[in-house]
Amino acid sequence: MKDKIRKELIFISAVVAILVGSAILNAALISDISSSVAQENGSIPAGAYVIHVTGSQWVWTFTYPNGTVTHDFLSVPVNTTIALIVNSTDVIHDLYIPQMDIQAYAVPGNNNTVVFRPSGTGSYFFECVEYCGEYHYKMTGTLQVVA
Amino acid sequence: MSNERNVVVAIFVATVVVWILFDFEFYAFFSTFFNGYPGNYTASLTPPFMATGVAAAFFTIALLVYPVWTKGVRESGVDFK
Ligand SMILES: [Cu+2]
Repeated sequence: MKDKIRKELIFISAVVAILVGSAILNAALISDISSSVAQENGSIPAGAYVIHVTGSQWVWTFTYPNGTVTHDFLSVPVNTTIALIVNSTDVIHDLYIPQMDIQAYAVPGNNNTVVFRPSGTGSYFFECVEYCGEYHYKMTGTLQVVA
Repeated sequence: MSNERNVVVAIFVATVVVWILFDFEFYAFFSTFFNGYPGNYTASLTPPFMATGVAAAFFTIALLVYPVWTKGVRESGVDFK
């Protein structure tokens, strides 16, 4: 009986140790990439290339610092910190760029900011991942990372 | 008892091997999939967690299947294989 309790305690403490260790590692990761987790009016790093993103039924609009506007196409320089300020004109949309691992809700009246830094040139896929109406599936586009 | 313990230890060792394989596998996959911060940073930190999930599944299934596989036929007359 004593032996059984001892084994139970060893098992419980091993499980607790693994869970606590995982929680600490995850908390460290989340705090390290906090600027890449979308937040309302989040801080924008100095020198970042700021792009305003507007989601509307059913197109993504990108406004660059020089005033250029593109639709469903985002072109950014490589190895540069990019800050997206995401907004919406009608319903809630959700911008997701899988290969950069960033996602930001586009909420009417809210400025959600998200920061990323592409490290390789090429074209990547992005899409709206919040069901936003009849042509939700058409809200996809291309992220072009240029040298 | 000693034989049963050896079986569990052997399955555990196999689990560690599975963990190492999947850790490398996930890292290889994610480091080619992601091409920017924070993706490539996440790619180097998440494989151990995901490999733990796969290894835990392997360990549980192996423990469950082992007695059926070795004793199922002899003891009950029903071929569980
Ligand atoms: Cu949408």
